[in-house]
Amino acid sequence: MLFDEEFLKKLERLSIVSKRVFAGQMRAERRSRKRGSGLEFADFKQYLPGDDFRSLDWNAFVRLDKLLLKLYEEEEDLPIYFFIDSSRSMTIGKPSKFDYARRLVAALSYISLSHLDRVSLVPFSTNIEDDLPRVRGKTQIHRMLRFLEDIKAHGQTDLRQVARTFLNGSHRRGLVVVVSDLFDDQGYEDALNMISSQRHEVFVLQISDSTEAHPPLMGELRLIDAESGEMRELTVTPNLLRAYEQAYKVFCEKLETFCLQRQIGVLRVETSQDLEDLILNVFRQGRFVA
Amino acid sequence: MSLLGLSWLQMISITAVLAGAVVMIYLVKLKRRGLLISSSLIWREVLKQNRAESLMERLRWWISLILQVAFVGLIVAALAQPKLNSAGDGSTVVILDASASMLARSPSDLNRTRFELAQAAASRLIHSLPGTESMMIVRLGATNDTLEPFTSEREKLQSAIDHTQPSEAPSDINAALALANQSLSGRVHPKIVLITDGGLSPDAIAKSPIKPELIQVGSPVDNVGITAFSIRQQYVDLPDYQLYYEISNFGRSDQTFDVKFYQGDDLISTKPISLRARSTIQQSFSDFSPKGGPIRLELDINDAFPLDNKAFAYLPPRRAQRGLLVTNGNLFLESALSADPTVDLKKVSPAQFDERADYDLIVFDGVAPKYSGKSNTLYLNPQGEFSPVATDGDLKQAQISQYDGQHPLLKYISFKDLSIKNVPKLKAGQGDTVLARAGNDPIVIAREQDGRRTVVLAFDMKVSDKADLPLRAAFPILIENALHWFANERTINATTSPIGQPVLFEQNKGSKAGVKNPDGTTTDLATDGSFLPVKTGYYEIKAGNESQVVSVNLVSASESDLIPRDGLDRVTSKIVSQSGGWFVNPIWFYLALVGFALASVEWFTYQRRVTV
Repeated sequence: MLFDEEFLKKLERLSIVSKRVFAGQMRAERRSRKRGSGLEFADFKQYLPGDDFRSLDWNAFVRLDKLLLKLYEEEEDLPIYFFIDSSRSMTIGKPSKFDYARRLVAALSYISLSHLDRVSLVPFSTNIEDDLPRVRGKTQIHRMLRFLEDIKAHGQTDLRQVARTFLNGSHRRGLVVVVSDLFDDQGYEDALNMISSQRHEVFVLQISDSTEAHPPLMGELRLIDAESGEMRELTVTPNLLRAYEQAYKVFCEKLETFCLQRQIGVLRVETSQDLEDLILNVFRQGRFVA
Repeated sequence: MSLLGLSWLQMISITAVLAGAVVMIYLVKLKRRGLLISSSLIWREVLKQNRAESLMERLRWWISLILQVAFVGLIVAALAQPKLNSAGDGSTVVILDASASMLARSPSDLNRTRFELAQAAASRLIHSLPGTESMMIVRLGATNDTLEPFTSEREKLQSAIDHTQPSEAPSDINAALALANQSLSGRVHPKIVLITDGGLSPDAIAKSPIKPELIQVGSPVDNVGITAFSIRQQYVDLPDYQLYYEISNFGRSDQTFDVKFYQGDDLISTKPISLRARSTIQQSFSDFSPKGGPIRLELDINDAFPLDNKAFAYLPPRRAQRGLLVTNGNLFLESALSADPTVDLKKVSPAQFDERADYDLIVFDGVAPKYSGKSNTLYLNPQGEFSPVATDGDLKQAQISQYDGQHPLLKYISFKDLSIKNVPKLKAGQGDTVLARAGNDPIVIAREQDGRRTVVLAFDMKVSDKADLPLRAAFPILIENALHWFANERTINATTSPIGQPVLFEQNKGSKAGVKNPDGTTTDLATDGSFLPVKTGYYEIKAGNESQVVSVNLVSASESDLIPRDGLDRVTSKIVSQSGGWFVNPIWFYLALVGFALASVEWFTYQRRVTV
């Protein structure tokens, strides 16, 4: 079992926050713009023949002598797309960023399924791999977990191509959660811009290993890029190490600034963080879950 | 420049091979540790920004290589033992100052004595001696000894330097330079190298036909020392002794300290002294106990030269004498004899005198009764048939015309204007010594027979018309001299002697004498009865039953002054001042030192990732 019962119960009490309201296909627990048979009162309208008279407001009729029909908000499901970076760069670290990301997505997916949201798992590297489209309901959790387990890390990250492929598909607008280390030679900016501009709500979970911020390197080294296999020989000196740490810090700050300017949610997650604590506390404080 | 350890070819070859090996090691590509990272994205960015630093990195590589090659070069050069050449085929006399001042040590010389610095300087000279040159080493001390005659063998020269010791005596630079010049006569490229602390007279050095080169060792330091010391009897207050001493401050600052007086191991007095810079003080001290024994004066001061802070004297113990005065009454004589605390005096009249009386000394005052004992006797104006010397009429009026002032009896005495009237004409017997005469007539006769001493004075010690001696200063001195002579005591002035000067002991011919030195060792006296003291302290001379203690002191202002003399640069061809700092080693030492310093820098910077 990936998570224990207690944790799962705690997860069930959470829901993923979407700032926007999206139109769903099926009834669920999220407000929608549609008026329907939900529980939340939305408005009145003049009764017209053919309307469901079960919604007539008889009190208003007594006071106003008019037949007014009570309208309720339709509660629909939220399409949530979990983009899981399955490039080779995610295999680094102990635990590997890839394993951590899969467990994180599993937990978030469970939350979403518990609230009858429509969850799509989109593993990607150079492009979108075989995805798990639109599963709904807690009964699908085992299928989803099996899918996560079957994903293999390979290839290089190309978020722009991934975004292009995704947007070319017929996906309902929804919440796109990008779980990635964002090490993309082409840059992540275009991809996030493209997705965001198509009125998806985007949330970025930057997965990082502690050794990326403070690499324990010194001396004569041959660094091998996990994605490209590119080798770079260099002598790591204290000065160079300080420069690297500064550059990594700038990289993270640039990501946060970029996301902030485009109203994209962003959270940096270190693989050393306890997953339960991350979801129950950090994500809550970050208003990613409520 | 020449090499002692390797030939030039060897040095160049070894350096080239090792430097080549170092370069090869640097050129061989480093086997780097491979490390998988998530992405080289950030590293690319960093390296792009640090392009200038990567240039510096290349430079560091070169610096590291140059440091390593320099290290190899320096170590090989050190092994080659380079030395500076002087003119070849020459002869050098090294005069090594081993005088007392070379025993000074100061913190500025890393607490090494000047002599140790001089030895190190001499070693460097030996080490840099070209194989074609010869060297002779002369030790400048109390005597000028040739430690090693002319030779080119460095081992012999070094051994001579290593085994020589400094003396506690002043030096005689004139004799040493004369010896050096004489040894160098007829030799090509003669050279004299004088290794000294600079406490030598420039005028003396100026007399040398060959102008010496000077290697000056030791830093100038302040010093306070005893520069004069003498003890003698105090005749105005018999029988005490009086110590005269002089203390000099050769430093540039005022000094305050105590002067301590010891008799034996007992501290008998302490005097505080304040002495201004470059000044001298003379004082005296006389409160000694009659028991005699070793006397020591000590300056309670901690300076660079402790040797001159002590001076020694020895007072022979005064033997108590039982004396008998046979007189009809003589206040002057009685008082003079009683003034000496070592004399236990008894007085009897001539009628009470026992002819077999046994005393250390019997004084007959104007009488000469029959005496058959063996005591020492002093006859004053003897009369009658039992007089020890025959008389031949009277001298009506006379003046003492000649006397032996060197005899212990008459030392420090003046008979000038002493008027003598109506005294008997003495006739000296065989074996008698006439100590004073009036014309040809003996006035004072001394006799030594069978271990018994007799003195006969023609006049008595009364204030009368015969003589007025009791009214003169010579009177108590004569009495005291007589007491000493009867007691067979030697004069104490001979007990202090300057170091480095021969001490003569008056021994009986044929008897073998030995000297116990201050360090406890024993040596024989020379055939002439002399010995040469080379250490300060007490020397006990023993010859048969006789013994004498001689104290030897360094009282030399020239040795106590530890500041080099002005004008040495004028009389020497080169002055190389060598203090006891770091720069006292051969060239190879510094090459090795720099080499290891470079290696340390390289190691440190490598560990700190500065040169990698």
